[in-house]
Formats: sequence, C-alpha cells, structure tokens
Amino acid sequence: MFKHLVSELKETLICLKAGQVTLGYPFVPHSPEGEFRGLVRLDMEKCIGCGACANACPPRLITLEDTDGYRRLDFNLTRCTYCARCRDVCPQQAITLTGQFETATPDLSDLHIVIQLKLIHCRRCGKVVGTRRAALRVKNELAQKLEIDPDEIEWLNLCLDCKRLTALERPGLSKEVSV
Amino acid sequence: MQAWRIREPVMWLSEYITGNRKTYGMNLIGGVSRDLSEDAVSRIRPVIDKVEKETSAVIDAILEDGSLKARLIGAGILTNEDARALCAVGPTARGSGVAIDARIDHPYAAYDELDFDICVEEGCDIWARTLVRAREVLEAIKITRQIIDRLPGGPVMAEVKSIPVGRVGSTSVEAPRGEVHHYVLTGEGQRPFRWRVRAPSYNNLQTIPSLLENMSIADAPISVGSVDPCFSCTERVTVIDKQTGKLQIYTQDELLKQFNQRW
Amino acid sequence: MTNRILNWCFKKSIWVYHVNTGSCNGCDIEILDVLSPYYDVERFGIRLVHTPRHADALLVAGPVTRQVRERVLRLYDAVPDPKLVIGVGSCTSGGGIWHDSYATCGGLGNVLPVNIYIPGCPPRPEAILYGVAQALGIVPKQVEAQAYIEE
Repeated sequence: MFKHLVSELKETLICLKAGQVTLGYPFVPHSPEGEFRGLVRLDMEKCIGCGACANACPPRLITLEDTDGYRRLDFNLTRCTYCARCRDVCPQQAITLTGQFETATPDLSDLHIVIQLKLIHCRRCGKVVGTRRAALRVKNELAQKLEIDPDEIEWLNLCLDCKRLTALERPGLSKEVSV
Repeated sequence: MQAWRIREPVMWLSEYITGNRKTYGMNLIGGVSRDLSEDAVSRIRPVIDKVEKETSAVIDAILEDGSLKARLIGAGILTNEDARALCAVGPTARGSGVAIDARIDHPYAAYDELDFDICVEEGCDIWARTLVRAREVLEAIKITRQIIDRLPGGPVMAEVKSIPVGRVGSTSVEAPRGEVHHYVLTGEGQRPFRWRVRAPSYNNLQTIPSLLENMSIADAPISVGSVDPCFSCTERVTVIDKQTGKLQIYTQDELLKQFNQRW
Repeated sequence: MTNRILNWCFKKSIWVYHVNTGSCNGCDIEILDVLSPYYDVERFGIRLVHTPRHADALLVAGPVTRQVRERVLRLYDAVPDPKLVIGVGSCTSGGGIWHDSYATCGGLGNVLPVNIYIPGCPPRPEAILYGVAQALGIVPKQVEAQAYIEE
C-alpha cells in the first residue's frame, strides 16, 4: 500500500516537472530546419528537360511526352512521397524540396507542376534529338573545355544515326576500293 | 501520454538529420543517401541523455504502481512452450522467456561489433512484455552511444554501376515488433520486380488464441494490444473453392484479369 | 434559422472519427501525435470519438483497399450532416506509391466526396492542424500550381 502511494507520487512529480510543453503553433509560425523535405518546387530557368527525374521517381509521378515541337514534363505531386530522389539526380539542381509543409488543399490541381520546353529536330531525318536548352548546355560546356567558339559546334542538331552517316560522308574519310 | 511527450525530441532529431520524422528515405542500394554532419552528431547526445533520464524515471515510477500491476499481472498469459511452438518473435517472445533477437542471431550492419544485452522477462504476461519494451529503450540508447563514439569516416555510398536483372536478395532485420524478413527480386530498369515482406505481426498474431484462452472478455483488448499487432502487415489472400475445398493459386496474369486491372 | 445556428456551431470545435483504410500507420501515428502534449489539438475542442454517429468529420488515412471500400461508404452514410471528409497523407490524395496497384482504388477522391486533402508522407502534425483549420475556413490556402511554357 505504501509502495503504491510512493509510485503514484513519483508519477505525479514526473507530470508536474514537465510543465506546459505545448508549442505555440499555429499562433507562432514554424519554419523547419535541417534537411526537412517539404513541397517540391522546380526552377523553370534551370530545367533542361533531360528526364532523369522521371526515371528516378519511385511513384512514377513525372511524365514526359514529346508533342507538337514541345517536350512536356508533368509533375503530379498528389502522390509524392517526398523521398528527394528527383533532387539527387537532377544534373542542373533545378529541383528543390522547400520547407513548405502547409500544403493542404481542396483542389488536387494545385499540386501539379507543368513545364514545356522547345525541341530540336534532326536536320536530316526530322527525328527528335532533345530539347534546345540541353543542346545549349552541351554547346557551352564543350566550348569551355575545348576553348573554341560555341557557334563552331554544328553536330548538335543531328540524331545519332545521321551523325554517323554525316561523318562517313566527310571528304577524305572513306575511299572507294576496287577489287 | 508521458511516453508521447518523451519521444517527441527524438522525432525532431530525425527530422533534422534525415528530413522526415518517420520515412527517413536513407536506404539506397550501395549505402545511404546522406551523411551525418558534425552539427547533427553534436545534437544527438543531449537528446538521448534527456530521453534516458526521463525513461528511467518513468520505469522507476511504474514498477511499484499497484493499479497497473493489478490490471496487467496474470492477464494475457503466453507460456514459454507456446511461444516457441507458435514461433513468436520480438517482445512477445522475450516477455515469455525466449531469448531471441535478430541483431544477435543473424548480425547485420555493425551489430556484431557492439555490446548490448537482450531484455528477457520470465513473467509471460502483459506486465512482462511492457517491462521488456521499456527496458529496450535504455538498451537502444546504450547502442547509440557506442555508435556515436566510434563513427568512422569515409564515403557513404559504394559505386553501383547497374543492377543485374533476376537476382534475389533476402535478409532478416530486427524491427520494434520482432524479426522482419524481406525478399527482393530485381527486374528491369533498376527497379524491383517482386518485393515481399514477412512482418513480425504475422507470427505474433498466431499467439492470440492461446493468449485469450481462459481469460475474461474485459482483458481481451489489452491482451491483443500487448502483442502490438500491425494489421496492415497481415494482409494475405487465400482462395478456396467452396464445393471441393481445393486451394486455387493464381498467376499474376490471371489475378490481374480477374480483378480487371491494368499493370 | 436552424441551418444558420448549426453552421455557426460547426465553425469551431469539431469531433473527429479516424478511419484507417489500409495505410502503413505512419499517418495514424501522426494523427495521434496531434493529440499528444506538444501539439495538443484538444485545446481547440477537437477530439477523437469512437463512433461515427457522434462525429462531425471523418479523418481518413490510407489508400482505399478493395476490402474496406464498402465499409468506408457505410461509415460515410453513418456520419450525420453537416459533415466534413478530410484525407490525410499522399495515399488519399493520389493513391501514394500504390497508385497503380490492383488492390487499391487510387485515392480517396474515387470513393467519397472529399472536402480537403492534406498531402505528406506522413504529414507533420502542424500540417494536419493547418489542414483541419483550412477545412473549417479559418486559414487560407497557400499552395499553388506551377506552369511554364518556353517561348
């Protein structure tokens, strides 16, 4: 009996010592710190439309389609699991997971990100090569590394098969052999 | 309620280190996705010191609590023989004197280099299981301290070129409810083709009939709760023909066609 | 007149019935966390009830599996008017990672009329508080879609 009273007293002391711990939210705003993974946002100027994020996303919420001369990337954030794989694989660091967690909405169309980028077509056969921004990035990086003028790189608007054909047709590269 | 209050700083710490309170998103094939910064490590120590102090105070306070003991001692008895025969795992088995722990039986990660004990109680009732769970908090803090003191440097992710198709991986790890077993079959495009989890609740729920035998109905909810079942993990489907009593096994294509779904 | 009185009463403290439709329990634990001392939603008068007949709102978590679908519909009918349906977690808003499984219905919107979705995996307790407050009309919506077309 006495031991029971002592234990009840100890439990009361634990509760009293804790005091009032309730946080001030929602009257005090809360900004998350550290590595918090909140809502996905896309930097529209940096994205080159490569589709690495579409490949890496586990719930496959990023769809990529090429129509009418535009590449359209659609992020359907309703089923995002906030795993940040898209951010880890993006070569341009265009995707950030912001600290925004107040994302409740009655309308699911608020949770979409859509970006449409212009495409380049092969100058010989007309197939899609890639986006114009991706080609610009390749041009600038190559020009920097090789230290030449970017406008001297003219192979970027050819698809892979046509590049091979064009290379074979260069003068001096192939010779006719008579047997 | 006090336990919920004590665990909250651990949630904030997980959020600071990994980005989310529950779904850490750290595991990748070849390693983990992010490294622990010095700042993060320095935050861990005060949090676990405080949790240890408060948990010890709570355990100390409830050990002699007459009303708790009157409710829980002698209720939901699972004998040692039943626990072994029904393959119970986790605190359900450890509360009945069976000393199994996947961290010691099949060591993975760095558990074979650490020094810790298995918490076993001989009571076989709900009180024993509660004490097992409470003491395991203190053991976990002991393990965490050893890990922080001995964290080695180096890369966190091995170079993985491409994952071959059709390989099988299977392992057992220790979850809070017991030993959980995962089976993965790799498929095309660096994604898994088949992933199967055998959750510990599947084993522990088989012990419910012997837990409830000869008990009063008032003790039934708390007996089932002491096993801490996760009913989502026990989702299984068996199709039996009513007339003949035969078991029918579906292939993937038949299952999808039967339920009119696309893949 | 009765309708106006009812709408005024409904503004502040609603009683909530929690339904788990096959979730991984992450959202369920975060809902219980909202009732714990640090976030304490009971200071606003919001409490969990044990029967849908006493509830004002249904708090649903999880992708709706095939087995539970008709039970959820019966629960919805059992809650008296006026009622709210709040979907917690990414599984309710779009099916989560189970969106194309043969065993789920692809999100709560395919089963019930939903008043508000709270995305997250699992959403923080503060996000759940914000979502419930938004359903009651106390705070405005903050998230917006992004769209861009290159010239």
